Amino acid sequence: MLKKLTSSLLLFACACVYASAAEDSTDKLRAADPLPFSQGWFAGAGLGANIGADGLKGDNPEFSIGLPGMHLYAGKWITPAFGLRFGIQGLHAAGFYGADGYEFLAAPVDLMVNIPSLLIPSLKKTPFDFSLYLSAVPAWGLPSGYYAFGVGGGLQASYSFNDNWAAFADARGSIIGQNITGILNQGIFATAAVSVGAQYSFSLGKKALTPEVAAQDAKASEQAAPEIPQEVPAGEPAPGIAETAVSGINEPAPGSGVVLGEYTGGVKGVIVNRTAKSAVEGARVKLYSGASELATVVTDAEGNFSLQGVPDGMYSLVIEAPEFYANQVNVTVNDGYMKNMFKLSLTPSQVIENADDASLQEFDMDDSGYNDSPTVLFGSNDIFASLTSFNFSSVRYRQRGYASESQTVYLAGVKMNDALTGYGPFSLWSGLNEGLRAKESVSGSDIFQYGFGGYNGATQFFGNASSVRKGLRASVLTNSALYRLRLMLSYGSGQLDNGWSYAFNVSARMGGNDWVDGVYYRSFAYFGAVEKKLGDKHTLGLVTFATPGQRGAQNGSTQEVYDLMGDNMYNSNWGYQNGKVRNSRVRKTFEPVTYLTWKFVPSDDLEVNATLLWRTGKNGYTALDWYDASDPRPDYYRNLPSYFFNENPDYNRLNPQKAAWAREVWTHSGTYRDLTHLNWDRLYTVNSLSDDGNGRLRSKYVQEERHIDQNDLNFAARVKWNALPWMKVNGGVNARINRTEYYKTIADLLGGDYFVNIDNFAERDFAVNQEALQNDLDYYYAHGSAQKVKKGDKYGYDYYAQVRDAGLWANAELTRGNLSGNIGARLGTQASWRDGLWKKGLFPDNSKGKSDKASFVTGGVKANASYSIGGKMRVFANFGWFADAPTFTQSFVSPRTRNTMVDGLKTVKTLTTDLNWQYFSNGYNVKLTGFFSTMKDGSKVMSFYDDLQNAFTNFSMTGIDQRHMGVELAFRVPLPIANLALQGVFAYGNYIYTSTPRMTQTVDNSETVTIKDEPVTYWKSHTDVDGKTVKHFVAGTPQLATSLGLSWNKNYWFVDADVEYFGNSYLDMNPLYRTRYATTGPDGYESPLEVDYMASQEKFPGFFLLNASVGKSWYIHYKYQLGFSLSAKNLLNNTEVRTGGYEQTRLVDNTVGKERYYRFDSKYFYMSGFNYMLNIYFRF
Amino acid sequence: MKRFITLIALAVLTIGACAQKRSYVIGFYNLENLFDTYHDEGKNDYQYLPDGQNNWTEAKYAQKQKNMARVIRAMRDDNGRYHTILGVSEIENRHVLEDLVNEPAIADANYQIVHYDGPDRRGVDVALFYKPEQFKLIESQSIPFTFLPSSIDFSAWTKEEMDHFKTRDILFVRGTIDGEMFAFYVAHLPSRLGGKGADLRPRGAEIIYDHAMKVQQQYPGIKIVVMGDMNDNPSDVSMTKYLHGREFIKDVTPTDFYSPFLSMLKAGYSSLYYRGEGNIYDIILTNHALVHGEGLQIKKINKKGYYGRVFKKDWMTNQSGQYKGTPFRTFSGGAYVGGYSDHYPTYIVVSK
Repeated sequence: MLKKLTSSLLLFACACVYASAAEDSTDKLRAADPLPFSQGWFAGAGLGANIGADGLKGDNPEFSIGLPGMHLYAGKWITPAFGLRFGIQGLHAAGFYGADGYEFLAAPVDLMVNIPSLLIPSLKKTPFDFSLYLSAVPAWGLPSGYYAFGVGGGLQASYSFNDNWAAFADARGSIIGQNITGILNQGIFATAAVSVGAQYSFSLGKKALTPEVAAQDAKASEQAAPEIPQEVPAGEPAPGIAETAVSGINEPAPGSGVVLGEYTGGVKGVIVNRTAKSAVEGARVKLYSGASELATVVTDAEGNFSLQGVPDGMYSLVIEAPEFYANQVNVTVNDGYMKNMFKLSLTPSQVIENADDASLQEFDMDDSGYNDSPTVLFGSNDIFASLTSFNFSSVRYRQRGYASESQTVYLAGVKMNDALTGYGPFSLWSGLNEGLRAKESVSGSDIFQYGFGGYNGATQFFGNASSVRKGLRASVLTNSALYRLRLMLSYGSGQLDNGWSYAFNVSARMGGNDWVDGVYYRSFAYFGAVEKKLGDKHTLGLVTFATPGQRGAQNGSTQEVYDLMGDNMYNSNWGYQNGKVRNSRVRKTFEPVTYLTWKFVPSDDLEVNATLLWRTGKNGYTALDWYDASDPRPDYYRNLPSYFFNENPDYNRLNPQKAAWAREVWTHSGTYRDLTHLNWDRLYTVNSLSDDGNGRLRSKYVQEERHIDQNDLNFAARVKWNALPWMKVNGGVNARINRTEYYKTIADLLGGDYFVNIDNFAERDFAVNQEALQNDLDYYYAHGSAQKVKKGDKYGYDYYAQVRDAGLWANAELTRGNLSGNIGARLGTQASWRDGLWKKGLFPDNSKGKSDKASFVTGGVKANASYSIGGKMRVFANFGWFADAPTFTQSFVSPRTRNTMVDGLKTVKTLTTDLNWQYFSNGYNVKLTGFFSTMKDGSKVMSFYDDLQNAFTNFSMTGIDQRHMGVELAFRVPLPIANLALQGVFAYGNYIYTSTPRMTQTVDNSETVTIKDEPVTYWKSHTDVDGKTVKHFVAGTPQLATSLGLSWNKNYWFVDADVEYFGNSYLDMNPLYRTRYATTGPDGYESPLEVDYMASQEKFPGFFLLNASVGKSWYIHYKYQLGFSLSAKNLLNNTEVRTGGYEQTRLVDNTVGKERYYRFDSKYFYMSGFNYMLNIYFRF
Repeated sequence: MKRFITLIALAVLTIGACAQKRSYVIGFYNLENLFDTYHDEGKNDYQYLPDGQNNWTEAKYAQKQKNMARVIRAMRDDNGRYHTILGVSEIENRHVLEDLVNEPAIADANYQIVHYDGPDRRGVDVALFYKPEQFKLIESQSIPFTFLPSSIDFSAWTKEEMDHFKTRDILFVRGTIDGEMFAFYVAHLPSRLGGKGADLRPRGAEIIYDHAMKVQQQYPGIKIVVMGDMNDNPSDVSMTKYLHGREFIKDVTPTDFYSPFLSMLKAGYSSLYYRGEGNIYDIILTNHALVHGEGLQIKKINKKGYYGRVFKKDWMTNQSGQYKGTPFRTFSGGAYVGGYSDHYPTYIVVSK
C-alpha cells in the first residue's frame, strides 16, 4: 500500500526572482520596520528532511526513507504581521525502507504570522525573524496519481544579512488525509519536515510607488528651497466687506495671477455668482496667513484668480466683491502643489436681504412635536437563530420539532421547496455560498415581504448579480467531517456606471472524510448572473446556476454490526473492487436553475417584482439491484451472529457455532474484508458465470440509478406598497407547473451484457404469466419478450409526476407608536396526478396514462402584534393557521406501479401561536419564547415486505395529529471583561402525537386490500406493563437542547467556545409495530408484555458536546481582505451520539411458541467524533 | 499650529426688538464620504476617483450630491425652515461643499460655508453651513487634536506616535443669532477601530470642553452648541465625563452640557447601526445658557418630550435584505447602491 516515512537530508539551493529598488512604503508601519522581509515579496529555496507516519486504517505501520527533498516557496507580506505564501515541499521518492515505491509531493499554502510584529515587538530590532504559519496542504502521490488534502503548520526562523538576503530554517508538521477520490484507501498520515535555505526579498517594480509616495518625494525636494523670501508686513485682519483691500507686497493685478515667491505651491480658482451662475469679474481675493495679509489678486473677466509661489502652510482667502456677501475660504497649501479651489461662489447681498425669514414662522408643533418612534432592529437580530443555526446542525436539531420541509425557502420570490416532497432546496446551490449569500429570513410564522411563508420561518435568497459581494474572492476550505477540500472563486462587479452588474461563483468540493468510509464528494458548482438597470425604474436580471457532481452515501446499520466492527461509523454501502474502495450508493445530480427577474420601482413607495424560473436536469441515486441471486449487502441480517444464535429459545436460533464463526468474521474485518464490506469482485464473478445459453451474460447483479428528473417552471410576482406612513402592504401571485419523470436506468451491468426488464417480485407470484411480469407491456407485445436493457437504458418503472400549484397572497404591516402588527392571508390551489409512461403487466388498466387528480384548496392566515417598551424591550405574539396540501409522494399508494391514490387524503391543518419577550441593547440580547402548535391530518405512505403476509405491500396512514409546545431561551450577555460575552440557549419542547391514525395496507402485486381503514392503535401511546400510559414522541430532533459558551471579539478576531447538552431524542416509529397485528401475535392473544415490547419507542441517551472556533480577518489598504476561520466540533470526541435512525418494518414471526412476534433490530446513524473545518479566504 | 482668523461681518444688521417667537434649527449630518472625483494632492482619496476602487465617476458624484441635498431639503420641508446652522462631516474639501450648497434643491438656503483643510490622512473634514441672514459670523477657528495637556493618561503612547497621529480638527465658529452670542463646535472624533483608540474620543471631548469653558469665561452668557459624529454614544464616558453631558436639564450647572440625545438613546432612537444594534453617534449638546438662560432656549420637539430629533424617512432606509431597517448607504459591501449615508442627521431647535 501507500505511504511512508520519508526522510532526507539536505543542502541548500536558492531561487531568485527579479527585484527592484522601490520600496512599497504606502504602509508606513512597514517602512518603519527594517525587518522582516521588509520589501513585501519574497521567494526562498532550500532542501530538507521529511518524515512521515502512516496512519492507514487496518494497515501495518510503514515507513521509508526518501531521497533528499526540496522546499521552494514564494509569498508576500501583506501587512507587517501577516503574509501568505505558496510553495512546493517534500518532493521525495519513497521506497528505501518498507514502502512501496510511491512518491509524495505537497504544495502547501501558508498563512503566516510574523511573531516580532505581532507578539514580541522587541525582536524587531534584531536581524532574527520568526514566523508561525498555518497551512492548507494539497498533496499528490506520484506516480499512482492519488491526491489528498490536509492541514498543518510550522515555524520559520530567519537571519537577515541585508534588506534582500536571509537564511532560513523551517519546520512544519502536517496531517494529510487520503482518499480524495473516494476510490482509494482511507486513512491519514502525518508528516514532519525541516528545511534550510536562503530567501530573497523584493518588491515588484515602480508600480508600487503610489501618488502619495510621489508627493512625499516632491515634498522632500521642496524642503531644500529657501525660506520665505520677503518679510511680510503685519496687517490687520480683513475687517469685512466694506473695507477696501489692504495692500500687500503684491499689488492687485487684474486678470492675471500673482506670484509671491519661488515656490511651486499656490492657490487658484474661479469666483462665480451663485445666483446668476456667472463669473464675478473684479472680485478681490486676499491671501492671509494668520492675521497677516500676504497678497491680493483681482479676478479676470472669467472670474479666474491665481496666487503662485506660495510656501506650504495654512492660509485664508477673503473674497470680496461689491454687492456680494463676503466669503472666507481656508486653504492649506501642502507639498508644493497648486491648490485648485475650482468654483467659489458668492451670494449676492440682495438675495440674502430678501430672504424670507422662515424662523419667524411658528414651529408647527401644536401637538407638541414630532411623533417619531424609535426603530430597534429586534427582528434582524434573532439571537436564538444565530446561536443554533450553525452550532446545533451537527445533531440535526430542528427548531420546535417541525419537519425540515416546513421551512419555506424562496429564491427571487419563487417558493423553491420541492414540488413533490416539500424538501428544502439547499442542495441545488450548495457550494455556491457567495452567489447566493444575500438573503433575508424571518422565524416562526412572522410576516414576510417576499411571499406568504409558513409556520417554520421563511428565507428569501436573492442571487441577482448586484447582490453578490463586490470583488474577487478565493477561498480554500478543508474539513474532516464531510469532504477534504473545497476551492471556491467568486466575483461580483457591483453595479457598474453603465447600469450592468455581473457576477460568477465556481467551486469544487472533493474528497472523503475522517469518519465514514466510502462517503466522498466530487461536486462542482457554477453560478453566473447578469443584471441591467434600465433608467431609474427598471432592472432586469438573468441568473443561472447548477451543482453538477456526485457524492457517496452512508447507510445505517444495527448496533450489533457497529459493536462487532468496533465502529459506529461503519458504512455498509461500499466494498473493495480490485483492492479499491467503491461505494454502491452514489448521488449524481445536475439540476440547472435559471431565472429571469424584473424589478420596477416607479416611486419611493412602490416596488413591483416578477420572476420566471425554470429548474430542470437530472437527479440520480444508484443502488444495487439483483435477480435470482442472494442479497449482496454485507450487513444483511442473515450474515450476522444474531441470526444464528439467540439466548431466547423462542427465536429458534440455536447454532452457537455458526454464530461464533460470524462473530469471528465481523470482529476481524481486516482479514475478512470481503465479508464485512460489499464484495464487488464476487458480484462480477457471479455475473461472469451467468451465461444465458447464447454466449451472452445476463447480469444477476446490476447497479441501478433511480432518477427523479424535474422540470419545474415557476412564475411569481409581487408588489410592495408603502401605502401610508404607518402601513405597508405586500401582495403577490405565484404559479408552478412541475412535471417530474421517475424512472430508473442501468448504471453498471457489473461485467454482464444485459439485464432483463421484468418485475422480480411479480415473478415470484406469477412465474407462468409472462405478461404479468412485464414492466413495459407495450414493449413485450411489440417484441415478444421483455427488453434486454444495457447501460443507460430505462427499466423498472417510468412515469411522470405532475403538480400544479397557484395562489394569491397579501399582507399588511401596521405601525402606530410603540405598537406594530401585521396580518396576512393566502389562498391557493394545488393539484397533482400521476401520468404513467409504461403499461405495467400487473396493472394493465391502471398504470399507463393519467391518474385522477388529487386537488386541494390551500391557504392560511397570519397575525402578529408587537409592543416596544422603551428602546430595549419588546413583547410580541404570532398567530397562524395553515392548510397545506399533501405532497405528491404522500398521495399515491404505489406510484412505481400504478395510478391508485391514497384514500381519505386531506390538507394538513396547522395552528400555531407563540408569545415572545426580547431585550436588546448595549450588547445584551435576550429572547424568551413560549410556543404551542397543533397539526392535523398528516399522512404517510410506505412500501415494505410484510413478513406476516409474505408479500411486498403498500401501506398508507392518514389522520396523524401532532402537538408541539415548549419554551426557548437564548441570550448573549456582555461580561465585565471587554469584548467577552456569555451566550447560551435553553430549548425545551414536548412534541407528541395526539391521534390514532387510520391505516390501509395493499399487496403490491395484486392490489388486494388486506387492511382497510383500521386504527394504528398504539401510534400516539401505549400502556406499559405497569398499566401506565406512555406517550410517543415526534422523532428527528432532540427535544431538549441547551448550550452555554463564551464569545470574544476584537479587531476582527473572534474566539467562541461552548458546551452543549442535548436530550429527549427519540427513534422514528414504524407504524407496523404499533398495530394490533404486531402486538397480538400469531396466537390471537395480546398480552400487556407484548404491547409494551412491540409498541414502545426508543429514547436516545442525552449527551454533552464541546465545540470551539477561532477566526480573524485583516483588511489591507482598505482593498484586500485576508482571513481564516477554524472551528473544531465535538472536542471530547464523543462517538456514541445517535442522531437518528429507523425501525425496520419486519417481524420475527417464525417463533417456537407461536405466541408472539419479535422486532428486527433498529438501524442507527451516529454523529462524527472530533472534526474540524478550516477556511482560508482572500478578497482582491 | 494654532491659527485664528477673525472676520467681522459688517452686513447691516437690523437687530430690532422682535416680539415674535423665532425658532432656529441647529443640526448635524455625517455625509458619509462626500468626495469629488478629482485627486487632491497629498490626500488619500484614491478610493474616490473615477478609476479608483469605488469607480467614483461624475455620475455617482452628482447622484450623491443630489441625495445629500434631498435630505437637507426634506428636513426643511418637515420643519418649515432650513437649518440655521448645519454641521457636516466626512467631506473631502471646499469644492464638494460649494457644489452641495449650489444643489438646486437647497440653493435657496444661500448657505455659507465655514471650512478648513484638515490634516486627516484620508482627507475628510468637518464643516459648517449657516444661513447668512440668520447667523452673523464673527470668527472661526480650526482646533487641532493634541494629546497634551490632558487629564487622560497617554503614557502608553510614545512621543513619536503622538506626533504621527493625525485626525480631524475640531471646527469652532462664533457669531450671533438674533443678536445673541453663539458658539458652535463641529467634531468628528476618532473612530472605534484600532486598539489604542479608546482614549482618543475622551481626549477629543476634553479638548472641546476645555476650549468651551474658556469661551464661556471670555463671553459670559454665550450660548454654546457642540455637535458632531462623536463615534461614541451619549452614554459613553467621553460625553458624560469629559464633556460633562447631563441627561436632565435640572442637573445642568454652568460648567455642564445638556445632552438631549442621551434619553433618546435609552428610548431606542438611533442615528446609525453597528452589527444590528442602534447607536446615536451624531450627538448635539448645549451649554447651560441654552437651558437655564434668557432668550433663545432649546425646545422640546418630540411628542414624547425629547429635545432632539433623529431625522429619517423610508427612502433613507434599507427596505429589504440583510441590512433592512438601517440607513441606506452609498456603498454596501464595496458595491455602489446609490443611497444616502450610514448616518441619519440629528437636530435640535432653539426658540424664544
